[in-house]
Amino acid sequence: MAGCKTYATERLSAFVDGELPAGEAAAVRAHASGCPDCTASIDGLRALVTNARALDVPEPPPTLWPSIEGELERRERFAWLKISPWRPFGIGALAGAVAVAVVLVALPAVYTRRNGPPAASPGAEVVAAAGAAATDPLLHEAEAEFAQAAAAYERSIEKLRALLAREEARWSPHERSRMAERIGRLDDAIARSRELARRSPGDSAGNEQLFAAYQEKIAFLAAAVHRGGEAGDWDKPGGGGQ
Amino acid sequence: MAAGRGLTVAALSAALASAAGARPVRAAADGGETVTDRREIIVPAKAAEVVRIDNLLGRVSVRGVARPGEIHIFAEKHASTQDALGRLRVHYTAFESGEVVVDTRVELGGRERSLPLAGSGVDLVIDVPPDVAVEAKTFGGDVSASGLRSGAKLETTGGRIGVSDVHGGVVTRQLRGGQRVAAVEGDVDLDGVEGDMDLRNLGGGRVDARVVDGTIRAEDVHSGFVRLVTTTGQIVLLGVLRPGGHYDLRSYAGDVRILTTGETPAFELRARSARPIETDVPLRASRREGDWLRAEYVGRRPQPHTRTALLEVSSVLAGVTLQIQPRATPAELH
Repeated sequence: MAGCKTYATERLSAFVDGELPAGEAAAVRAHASGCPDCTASIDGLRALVTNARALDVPEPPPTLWPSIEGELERRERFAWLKISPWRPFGIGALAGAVAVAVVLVALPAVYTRRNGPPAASPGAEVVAAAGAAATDPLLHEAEAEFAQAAAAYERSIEKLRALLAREEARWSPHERSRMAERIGRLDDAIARSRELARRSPGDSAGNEQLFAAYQEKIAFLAAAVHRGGEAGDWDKPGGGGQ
Repeated sequence: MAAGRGLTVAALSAALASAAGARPVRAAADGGETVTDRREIIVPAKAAEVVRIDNLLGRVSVRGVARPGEIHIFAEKHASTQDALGRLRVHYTAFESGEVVVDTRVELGGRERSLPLAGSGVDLVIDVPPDVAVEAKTFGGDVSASGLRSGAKLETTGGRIGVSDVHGGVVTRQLRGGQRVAAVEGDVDLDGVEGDMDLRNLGGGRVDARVVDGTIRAEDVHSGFVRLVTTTGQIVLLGVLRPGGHYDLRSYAGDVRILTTGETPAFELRARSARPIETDVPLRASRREGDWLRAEYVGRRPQPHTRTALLEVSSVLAGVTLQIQPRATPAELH
């Protein structure tokens, strides 16, 4: 955000994580739609989160993530009771990125402390385990469950797109162009998340990221449909939430 | 683990698979055999302030009925084979910070993962002290909370959501399945994509419910701010309007119906509808501002110091109905 000082990086980060109140999130969206600096910052933050999640890491023991998450959230415990905006599965994306980094640092130490130095390289063990899991019928069951949910999200998006097409006919070419641009960015995020999930079968976090991307698009389309009924003012302040 | 970081843990990091009293049984289900394993464990949780439950493998029901300092976990695992059953795990972890985590996992390739399965699963009934806050997440299983006094946050992808008798904030997130929320004293924030929402007897300061494809029916909502938004379904608001309340009711493609009962306060109306607005309310000062109709209702017995409510009602493709009834006839509203 080299040029624009309207929103501090922390606020934009919170926006990317879906942690801003609905009103403030809508204001950020509205501002970013006309501010190349903030749009670039938001895209950069999203890319950071996406890249962090793309790292190949061994799955931690089941108690490790709750430990980290509990520590991360200790100071803000119960904050969600004050009515927070959509926060998929209670894990902020940026917090997830931080956690990945922490896991990368912490895992070798944990393993060493518990088991002593590994006889073979940890990477080899992970590859072997992944190979065994890839052929497991339970993994295919899980992937089928995720695929069904993704299909349900896609159906909802298609319904909203059909409704939006009715409203778009009343918009100016400029408004239609901006809408197409915004939807294109959301589609890019979905495509990136889908690819990450595909590359990490059996990783629920990857699918959660994909579902979060779907949810963001659905919320945007629903808001656009509702506010599009008011003469094409889908991107006015307050139009970012459903 | 991680004692150096002061995280705690561990005191009771217990895999329930090792608990005593396992009784694998076989039962007929859906034309096939199912192997079932039921277990119960009572764990001390004297400092518990929040209980987080993460079960992508099945249902979760949380009840605020346990004695202070105790959490009861009833876990039922089911699978088509003994081998699959043995790969389902339930973990309980208590943190010194007051957080308790219950999560389920399936063993795949030598590692435990949090994943949804179609043919196997774990259903949890968890009794907690009423004063702990609860967060619960499922994937395809129903999730419910009752008897809680510090609020609840419930998330599911494909299960139904049920909330009853809860004090404190209630937050829900759902892809599909429908939601029933009743008897809540606290702010309510509901979000869904597909499925109807049924809200009854809500008494917090704010009710905010959003769904894309579903009907929202709200009865006896006493909150000062009520926002109900659906894209393709109907909105039905039934009950008493609160003096000074703000009601924002919007459907894009469905009808919006308000049937007030009792002593309806004065209100200012902003309404938009594809069809003429149906109403038996003696509105006055009606005027149009673009697509919107603005009007006022002064009440049957105008009182100068009573605060005026605001009704913002919109149906872009369907109709708006506004009626005052001495007593509602709920059967007509379905």
